[in-house]
Amino acid sequence: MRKNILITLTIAAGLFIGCKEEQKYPTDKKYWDTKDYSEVISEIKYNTKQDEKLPTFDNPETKLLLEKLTDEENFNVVLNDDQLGIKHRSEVAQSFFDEWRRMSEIYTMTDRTDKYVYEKELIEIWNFGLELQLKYFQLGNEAITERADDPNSDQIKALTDSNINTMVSNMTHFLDEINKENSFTTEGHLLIAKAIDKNFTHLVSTYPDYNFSALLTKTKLLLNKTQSDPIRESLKKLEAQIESTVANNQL
Amino acid sequence: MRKKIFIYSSAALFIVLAVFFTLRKVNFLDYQAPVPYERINEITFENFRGLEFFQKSLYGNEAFAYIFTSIDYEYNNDSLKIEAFFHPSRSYVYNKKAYSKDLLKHEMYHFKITELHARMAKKEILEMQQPTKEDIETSVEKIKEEEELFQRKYDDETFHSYVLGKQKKYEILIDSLLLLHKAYTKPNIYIK
Repeated sequence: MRKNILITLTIAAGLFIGCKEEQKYPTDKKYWDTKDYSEVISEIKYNTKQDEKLPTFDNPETKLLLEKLTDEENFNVVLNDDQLGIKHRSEVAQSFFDEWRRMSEIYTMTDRTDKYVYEKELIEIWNFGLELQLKYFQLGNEAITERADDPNSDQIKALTDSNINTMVSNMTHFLDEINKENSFTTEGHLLIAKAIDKNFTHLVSTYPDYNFSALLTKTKLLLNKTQSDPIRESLKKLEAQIESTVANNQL
Repeated sequence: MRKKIFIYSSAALFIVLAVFFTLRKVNFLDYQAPVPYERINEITFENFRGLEFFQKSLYGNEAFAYIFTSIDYEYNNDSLKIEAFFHPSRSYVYNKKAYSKDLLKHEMYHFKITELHARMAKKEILEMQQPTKEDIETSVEKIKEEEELFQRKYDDETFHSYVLGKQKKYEILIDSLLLLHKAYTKPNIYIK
């Protein structure tokens, strides 16, 4: 950090005093770390009165907060930085994952017609979590392999496979939202479809050797069930990708 | 009587404020003279003697430091001395005994950026044909502005060293540029 002139800090101090409300959330901070997430999530969870509206994307005063909260760059800037050690990145990923789990509980409420009150916030937080989990489990497995005497041993393989199983299972929970598609609006369906396109494509291409049969079965069942065109299109793409991966593996 | 009390109180307040604001700028109670770039390897956080009364954290992080550096120049007959300095009594660290190589390194690269621009100024002036004092001052001031922009970009992209990958890239870039300007290391240049 560099500081040149006295006036800068004087003005900064003035702004600090003048804009207390603005400073409630560190929206001017370029990257949020897990401490920021912890504080912001606690603030939203515990300091919003029951009948008050939670911070949302459609409120100009809280739009920036939501954008920061769901900005994947916050974890990518650390987890993708190969100058940092795998153990360190894996620990940071664990902390982000813990915070995401807390965050994912905030926007789940539904109204009297079973519609989600905060569907955009809910799906964007899911989206954040899906991308995070891909990195978190990948780093966890890299850390296990790095520390192992024999990374190719059956024991290590079983451990890393078990982690992938957990990740796929966690990610598949997101598809369960399709069973509740009537709780979302058309805009919500579009967001769900986008999240499937982005994250599940990445999942299948990252682990081409993994047995995705359970995911394929679920995809097919949901394809028969969904009434939403964008979701159907995304599921079709996912189905085709898994089948193509299986076919390539059999060659 | 009341008038006298008012005058004495105002004078006392003025002195207290003057001392306070001067201390914020330069800690004269624990003063250390500016350190030239050639002694960069001797600098530790023990040399960061500035005081900070208001800013207790940087984006919520209490473990922070800031460095004050400058490009100074003076004329000596036919030569011009341009030098980069680190100002210990204007630079701050949250804890002088802090053992954080990464933080110190980040701050030292700010000093290296200042040195790089001092060398760039010397290069630019040496390339001028019979420069006047005004030409020299304009050139140095322009380079100081460029340095300020570089410093800000460095802090922004590395996010004060949080982004280690970017920090390493900057270290390589700055070291390479310093090497490229090695011919302008000596503070004195002789104007044609």
